[in-house]
Amino acid sequence: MRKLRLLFTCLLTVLALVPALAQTITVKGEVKDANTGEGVPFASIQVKGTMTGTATDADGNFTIDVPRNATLIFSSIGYLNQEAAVEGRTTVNILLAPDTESIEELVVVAYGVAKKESVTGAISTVKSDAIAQRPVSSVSNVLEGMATGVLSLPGGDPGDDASIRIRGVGSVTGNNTPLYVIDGVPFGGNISDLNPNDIESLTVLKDATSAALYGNRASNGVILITTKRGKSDKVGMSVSVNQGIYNRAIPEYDKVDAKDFMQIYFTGYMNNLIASSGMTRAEAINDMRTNLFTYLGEYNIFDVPMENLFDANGKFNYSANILKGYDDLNWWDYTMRNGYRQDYNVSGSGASEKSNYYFSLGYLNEEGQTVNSDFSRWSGRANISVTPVKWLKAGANISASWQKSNYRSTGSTAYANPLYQAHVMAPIYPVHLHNLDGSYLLDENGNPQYDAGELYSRPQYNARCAIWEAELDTRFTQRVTTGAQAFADITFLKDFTLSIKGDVSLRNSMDRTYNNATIGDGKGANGRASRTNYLYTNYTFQQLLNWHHSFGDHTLEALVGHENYYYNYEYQYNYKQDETLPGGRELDNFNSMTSMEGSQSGYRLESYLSRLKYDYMSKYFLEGSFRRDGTSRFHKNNRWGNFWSVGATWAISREEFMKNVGWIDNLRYRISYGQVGNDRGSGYYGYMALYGLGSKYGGSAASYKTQNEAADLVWESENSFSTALEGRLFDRMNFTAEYFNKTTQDLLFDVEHPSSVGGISGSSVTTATTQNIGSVRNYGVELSFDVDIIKKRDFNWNFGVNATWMKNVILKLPETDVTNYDGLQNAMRNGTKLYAEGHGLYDFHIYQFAGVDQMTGLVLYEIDDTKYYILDENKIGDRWDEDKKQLVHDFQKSQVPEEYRVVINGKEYVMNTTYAKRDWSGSSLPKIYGSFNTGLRWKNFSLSALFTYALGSKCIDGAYQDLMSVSTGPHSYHVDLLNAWSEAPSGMTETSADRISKTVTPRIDGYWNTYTNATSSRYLVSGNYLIVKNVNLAYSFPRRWVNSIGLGGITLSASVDNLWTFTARKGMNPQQGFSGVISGSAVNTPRVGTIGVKVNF
Amino acid sequence: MKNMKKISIIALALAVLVSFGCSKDYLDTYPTSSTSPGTIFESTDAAKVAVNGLNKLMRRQYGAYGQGYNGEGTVRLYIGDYLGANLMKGNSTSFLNSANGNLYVSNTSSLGGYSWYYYYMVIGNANTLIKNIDEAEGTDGDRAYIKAQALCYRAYCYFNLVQIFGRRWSDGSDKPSCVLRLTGDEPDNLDRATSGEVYAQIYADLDEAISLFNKSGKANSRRDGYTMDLDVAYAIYARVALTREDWNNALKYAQLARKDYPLQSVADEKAGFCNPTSEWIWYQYGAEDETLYYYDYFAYAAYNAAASTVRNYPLLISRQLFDKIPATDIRRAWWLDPAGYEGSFNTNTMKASAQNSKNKLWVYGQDYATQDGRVGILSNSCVFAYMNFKIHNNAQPGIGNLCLFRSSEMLLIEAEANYQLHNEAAAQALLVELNATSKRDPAYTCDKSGSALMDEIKFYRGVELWGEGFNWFDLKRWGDTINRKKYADGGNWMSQYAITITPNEKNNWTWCIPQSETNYNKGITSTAN
Repeated sequence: MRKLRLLFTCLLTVLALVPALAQTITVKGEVKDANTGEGVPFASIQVKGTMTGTATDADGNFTIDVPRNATLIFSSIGYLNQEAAVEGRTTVNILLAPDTESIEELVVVAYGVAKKESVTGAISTVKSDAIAQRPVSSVSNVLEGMATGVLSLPGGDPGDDASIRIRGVGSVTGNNTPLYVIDGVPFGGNISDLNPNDIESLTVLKDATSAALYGNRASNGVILITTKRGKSDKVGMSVSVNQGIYNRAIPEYDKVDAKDFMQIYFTGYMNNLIASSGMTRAEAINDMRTNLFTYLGEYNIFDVPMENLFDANGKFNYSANILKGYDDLNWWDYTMRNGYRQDYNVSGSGASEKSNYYFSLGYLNEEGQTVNSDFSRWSGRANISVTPVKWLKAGANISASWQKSNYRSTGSTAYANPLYQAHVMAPIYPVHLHNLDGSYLLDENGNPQYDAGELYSRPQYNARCAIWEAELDTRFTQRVTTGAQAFADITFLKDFTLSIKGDVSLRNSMDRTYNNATIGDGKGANGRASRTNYLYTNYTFQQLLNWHHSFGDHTLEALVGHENYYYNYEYQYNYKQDETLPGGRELDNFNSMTSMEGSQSGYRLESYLSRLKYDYMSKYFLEGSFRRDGTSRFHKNNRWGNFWSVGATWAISREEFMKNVGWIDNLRYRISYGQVGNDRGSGYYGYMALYGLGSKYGGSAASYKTQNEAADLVWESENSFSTALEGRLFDRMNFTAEYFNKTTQDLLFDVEHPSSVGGISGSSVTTATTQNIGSVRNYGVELSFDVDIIKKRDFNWNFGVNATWMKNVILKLPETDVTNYDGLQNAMRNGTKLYAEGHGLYDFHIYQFAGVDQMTGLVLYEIDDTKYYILDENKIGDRWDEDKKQLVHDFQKSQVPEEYRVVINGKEYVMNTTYAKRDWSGSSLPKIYGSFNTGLRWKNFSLSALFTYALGSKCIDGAYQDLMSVSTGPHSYHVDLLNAWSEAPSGMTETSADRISKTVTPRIDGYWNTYTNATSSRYLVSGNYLIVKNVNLAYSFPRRWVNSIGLGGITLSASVDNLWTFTARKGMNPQQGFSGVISGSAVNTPRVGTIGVKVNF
Repeated sequence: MKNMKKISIIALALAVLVSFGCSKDYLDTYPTSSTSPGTIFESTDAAKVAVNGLNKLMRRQYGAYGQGYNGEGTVRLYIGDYLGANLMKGNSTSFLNSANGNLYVSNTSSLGGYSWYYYYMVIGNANTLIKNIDEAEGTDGDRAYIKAQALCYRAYCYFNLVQIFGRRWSDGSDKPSCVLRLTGDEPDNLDRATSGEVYAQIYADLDEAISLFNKSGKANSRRDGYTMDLDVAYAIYARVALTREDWNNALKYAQLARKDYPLQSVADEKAGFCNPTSEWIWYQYGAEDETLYYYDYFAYAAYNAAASTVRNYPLLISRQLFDKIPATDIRRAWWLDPAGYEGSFNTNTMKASAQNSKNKLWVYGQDYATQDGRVGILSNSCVFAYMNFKIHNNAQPGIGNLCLFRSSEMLLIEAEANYQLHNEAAAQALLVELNATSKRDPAYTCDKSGSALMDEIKFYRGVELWGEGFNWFDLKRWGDTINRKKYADGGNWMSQYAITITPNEKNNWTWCIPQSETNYNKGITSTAN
């Protein structure tokens, strides 16, 4: 019976089709994007009322056989559907309009993905195409300028990760770095372990609602990194090759030449002799002329005998010339270079209903801007998932990388840092050994030899030559990382999904050092070598139960889950000295053991999490989440914490009353509030009092206090509020305006005690106890805007700008730790900063430079009149009385010694910072930062540029301070010293109103140098910057031509990162760090230029 | 039925979730590179590790202040000698400001800040020991012994603090010096104690320590001279009492301290002061497997050290002192006498011209080093007139045992105390014992009296203890003037060091309280010294 019915049905169908077949025609056509004019690939074409259909090819072309009177339905994700009647035509071209209302764009969120429109928290996303434009080795470097609220500073050496702060700085004790989550699992490694080419997207979770599910690690924001997977059913492969140059983006400061150096040095030393040894000027000049070679070493690079270099008035003989052979006085030439950069990637991917896969292999080799710094990385990845049955999806991501980073200037001591030596080396010292006539002093093989300074007694870096050391020494890190993640999503009872995910990552990192026996640190030990091994084990195990249910206009989604995180590292350190064979770098080559130690550290978390989402007609979205987190970092009694958030989004454009408002689309309003935490300000065993193990004295174990107890420690909690309005105007402008307010409470603070309480470290001056005290608020506004200025078929031009206004302020410090400095209560000093209520964490509080006394050329500071006096009144000052808890007026001030004080026109000044007043002097955090960008596309060419900027910050320019300091040791000098004070301007008197000048360079004087060049507001400079962050030019070969040779696409591109940096002073890099204290020893931002070709198959 | 099934599946899924919950102690982690005070003070055996920790704190790297900061050795050399009148670092201006007394008033100077931080770090650990040791498991004897040791460390540290941050006894016993912390429970905000109060506490600690050592039944049971025992307590007491101008106690404890430590032989005098001899009462252990690298005292002081600071800027004796040493005194050979080599060294820096020119004095200096069985200097070391050959090291870059107390000093303390107590004959006899009897200067006799006798004692302190960290402390307590002369004037100081500093100049040679204290301690009611 059944068979009969089937036969009958078939027959009927065939009969029905016969007339249709008879009238069939072939229709060809092209489907294009109405905005861009680009072909829409893989758009679906369906004959209305039938199951018949086809899809466009990669260029948007299609061919289909249809009845003459058929109606075709064109559809593609992200476009509005469109119908067209064939009406006998054989060519049907269609322009599809992008669907701006309902872009079903999925974004990665905490523990899953969500439709972009349903997100109630603050997130920013950077996609793979933007990443691909940037020649970076660590993907963390692409965030600068790409997302509002994210302040990012680039690393300087190859392979360096960027330093990132999301929506301000909430924590004080150091950890303000965001949490990185890779493919859903918290990441314990370095971002440079990842190949940027493997990354599909970076998503920054900025507020509590988006990040609450990461509980006690979420308060600094979370960066979700998602790796690529196969997407289309087209099996594709791509090969890319990039070649480029890596060099220094920031120039060196303007420094004086050898002749000016001689004059400045002479003056400084001579004045020192007069002031410190009581010589007359004539005696001092005579002493200098006689003893110059003992002060400067027996170097005379000039063609005039040493005794004739200066006349009886102490003036340098400028007619002297540098001897011909000295062509190696500029140490920069031997320190900096144009490093070569190579980057190769091969990847393949494919997807079908039942499976998808992605694999890649990458090799990167970057030579750094300083000699002997480089980074190379091999990386491989395979992401696979299968759906064997409808209810099960399972897969694995497997990745491995090997990398080696070589000799970095970063972190090496001033003695061994070639960069710093090139910054400070006096311009009269050659890199190589010379004969007295200036010619090179060659070795027995006829080669130039480096000058360690010993032959001619160079007083600066004697017995050292960092350039030479960098050549002979080894200092590199080799890291192997492997990661494996397996997951299974089990769908059951229609609405439920159980997801189980396990992730293991292992990293082995080995630091190898070798100090040679010829020059430098290893010389005294006859060569030495060390190995430091770290073995990290990380695993995460996650079980999530998801429920997704729609009924009518309502959609509900619930998630409950459990996660545990395990982190452990084992450390081992071996140090040997006394080498057997010269230059042998392996430990076997050394005869005596100086150190061998090892230990393990661990960190664990256990968490229960849940989330509920509700969506009504895609118009109203509500979301709430809750997580309970336990951490091993705190004492048993304070271990567990609860974190939560609520958020809502209102899609205003979907309301009836907006239907007729044509000029605005996608208008949405969202608001969120929640509480998240941060346990990372504390060490792994932060709550315990500790006695260190591992040292010995006299051959026996020796132990002393290394940490004070802090049993009451809990995580810092952050209350975060965020609200935003976003939309699209006139179908060509997008805007987002957002306000945020984060208040971090229970700050983990290293509270310093007076040193007399007893220090706990030898490597830093600290007596700290970690406490939860105080609170900090970060608030601000984020704006972003972009516009399509030109939107034509073959010509597009858009422009975007974003800005974040931000303020950071300490709301509360504990009363129990009231500290009274300079008349302030509840304050705590940290270097150039002072933590005080009502002020920011990065507010400078430094000695106040009042100007230069034009009668003496000395620097004047404002007097600290809470402790000192000059004139007789006010001998008694205020101090904080701990018992009375108030300021009492009984402090016995002391008088400033005569040589350090002056009263000018009735006002008291001091010349020694010991007696000087410190005061607020701006902040090192910018008030506004952000970026603007523009993109131009014309036919197959595209050009884009990204500019980043920051305004309103201050820096202490320590690198400049180095160059302005003239002491008895030779040193390089800044050209500003050429205009130093030498005598009182004519007409100036003791009582002149303009006696004090802020613009005059103080006198050059080795005796007063300690005080004139003290860290004070004199060295404060604007930290504003504008950086041409990236310029990218690309050309794609016409598809028709490419296809004709059997390829999918060929793109040529050229890209430059950090093309130009504009700052207040040449040489200064305000992006060195958030603290705004600039050092001459840091490796600055690199400029990286590449050209590349990418071929798709 | 259908619902039942649904519910059971959900229940199963939830059960899967919950079953992955971790065991109760999953979140308990413990460090492996450190331990808790509970473990340390559990027993006297464990507490010994903390006593040894005090030793370690006195000899470790303090990198926060820079290379060269190594615990006690730094105070000895940088303060005790660089700031004085008998020792200079050839051709170096690195210490110019401190040596000329310009940094006493700087509250950010490394030297002042370091001395304060370092001594209080030892004191803080000693306080914890003193407070907790009574509860530790063990014998009464062991507890008493450990407590006595901790008290001695504390007394020694306070003694150094009061010398550096307080005025000299004769004009400052009522003036504020350092902060007195004894239990660790004091509030952060604490005013300074007067020198008199600090000395009283040092006496109290030493008295209690001596009584506890005696009670412990193992007063002199130490195996090694680098750990603390009763004799060290006596030696500290003698030095403290001398500085406090308490002549009777100085005399008494100096005698007690040295009774088991006979003066060292002439051979030992020449052996380089890097290994213990018969007269070393207390010293710091130094060996290759406990190297401080370039931080070590010997990397700055030993003439044969590989450190460039020695090879280019070795220690020199003041010519004003050297020229007074009799020709018959074997100690004259501790320094390179340039007699006969005038003209082959720079008269400002004392340096024999560059090594490549094979200058006469340079050649002589190289030879000189190897005379008398000494270790030679390194071929790339510079040679200076008046350079040190007293102190050498055992291994590179600068490894040796550093003597802190020895009998020669105790003998000189006795001599000075006797002089002050008007026992001039006894003082003379002691000088004869130190110089002639010991054969350091067989020709030595002493018939000086009055201030000439005191000058004689000062002179032999200067010679015998040169480089061991006494000179500045001595000059300060005596209220003597530093008078450094240039070569042309009979000295050998570089021109910028050639100054006169009177006792009341330069803040009375008293270091001001460093910022690391005043920034956090608002109990201090006056910054004046």
